[in-house]
Amino acid sequence: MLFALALGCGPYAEVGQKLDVALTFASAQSYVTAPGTEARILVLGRDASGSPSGFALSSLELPQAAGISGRTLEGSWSESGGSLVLKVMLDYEMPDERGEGLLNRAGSTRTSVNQTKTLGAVTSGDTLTLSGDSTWEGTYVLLTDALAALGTSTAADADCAFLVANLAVLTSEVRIIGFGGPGMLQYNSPFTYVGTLSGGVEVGLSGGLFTTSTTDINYMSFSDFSGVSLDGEQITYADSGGNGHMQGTVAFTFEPTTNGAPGTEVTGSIKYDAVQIGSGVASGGTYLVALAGGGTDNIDPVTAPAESLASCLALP
Amino acid sequence: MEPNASAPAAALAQGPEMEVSNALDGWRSGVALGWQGMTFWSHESHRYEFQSLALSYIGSKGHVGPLIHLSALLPLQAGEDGHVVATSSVYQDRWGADLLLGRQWRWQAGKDFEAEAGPGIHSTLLVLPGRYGYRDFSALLLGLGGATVLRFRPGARIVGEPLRIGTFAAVAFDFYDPLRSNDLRAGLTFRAGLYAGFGGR
Repeated sequence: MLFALALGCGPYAEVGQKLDVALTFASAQSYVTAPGTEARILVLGRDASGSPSGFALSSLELPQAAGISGRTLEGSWSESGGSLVLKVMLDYEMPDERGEGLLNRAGSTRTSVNQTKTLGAVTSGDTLTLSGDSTWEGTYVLLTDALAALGTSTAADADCAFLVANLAVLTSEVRIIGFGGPGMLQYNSPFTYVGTLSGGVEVGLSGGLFTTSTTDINYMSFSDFSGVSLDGEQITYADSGGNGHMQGTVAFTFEPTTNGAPGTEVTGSIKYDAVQIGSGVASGGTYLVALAGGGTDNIDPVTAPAESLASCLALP
Repeated sequence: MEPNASAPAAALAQGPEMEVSNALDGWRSGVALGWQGMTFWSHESHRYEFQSLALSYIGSKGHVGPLIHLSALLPLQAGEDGHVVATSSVYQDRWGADLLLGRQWRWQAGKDFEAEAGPGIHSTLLVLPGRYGYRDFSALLLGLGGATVLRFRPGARIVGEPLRIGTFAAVAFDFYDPLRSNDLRAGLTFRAGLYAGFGGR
């Protein structure tokens, strides 16, 4: 009975559900926009011959530095007469469940859908303006060009670097089935999710529902969108109430471009050793961010970011 | 005073009924092999179905008394919204348990046949850890049910008591799942099979 309970609470799982069905691309162009506290990332993938293949469209809520929720649509895309046609096959959601009891949380889920979204798409230089759907419209900028706006020497630069690197952490969490809920007990058998562009992230957990658990998330050259990759480990120790602390360091690498031409790489790291966990989410302490160019800062996970993503990336 | 001439006749008249009552008394214990089918709906309106092999212990006492059906389940097939899989293809382990605990009434159903039926509280537990790359599935359904057993006494004896063979059937309506944050809207379970056991006189 206890073993059965250790398989987790939350709603019923899908029967025969594969953990990872993510699309991967030979190449991709990624775009970003940041209205208010939200970040939207559009990845348009192409196959080896350069033809449109798959897409990933993510919305991440960042009212606090750690982020609180996210959603990603995946499927295939095509262009037609000034429109971007998205055939959505997968809908991932990592809901904001901070107000839910630990055992009642669904965590990240994936639903198979069959929807078509047609968005007006106008390209001008390195911007892509989408219209026709209030959830996703906006003026998106080529992400690798936007990365060129990042500095490397000040505390504000470190704040911005954290925001960008954390986008990749969040898109991985949205796709990890059960993330944020008791469904994480699934990973008593570790599993590796493939990055949309490259690498992977291995998720493993030891312990059970009524004991102290240790969650180990290991990024291995992980990239879900152009220009940003992660390497390193986040370890979370939590008791049965979801209270504990984190440990580990994740290194990030940004590869900016200017009008498509490669720029100077930006590298740095996020150290999690001082982060406190309460009821299963980051509740206090700080992320220690250090850039190779000298910029460092301690970032509170539960307060609003000191810098906005839009200002960090000089987005319109 | 003359003896009551009707007393012996009254005693004879009571004899067969007492014999029947006595024959229905006592424990009945046995094992049963059968099939269990269950279907249930989540609050998200997904319909799940499981087909399992069931190996059961069936016990009861008295012509009115307690009833227990305790089954070990081997889920063979699982489905959701019409998508069906062989459990061995996606789950590395697959097991379950079913319990019906209640009260039964037993009666003679012909020469050498007896039947019993009654209601009880019902529970089904399913545990299916996924193979590498597949998600685990588990459920714990609670509700109310009933069962019936029909036994035949062929005349042989086992462990000093009459051998009894027969069939059984059970049905349950489930409405609560404490393991899955009560994601259960409603569920139906049906189990049937063959029985062999002993007990009584």
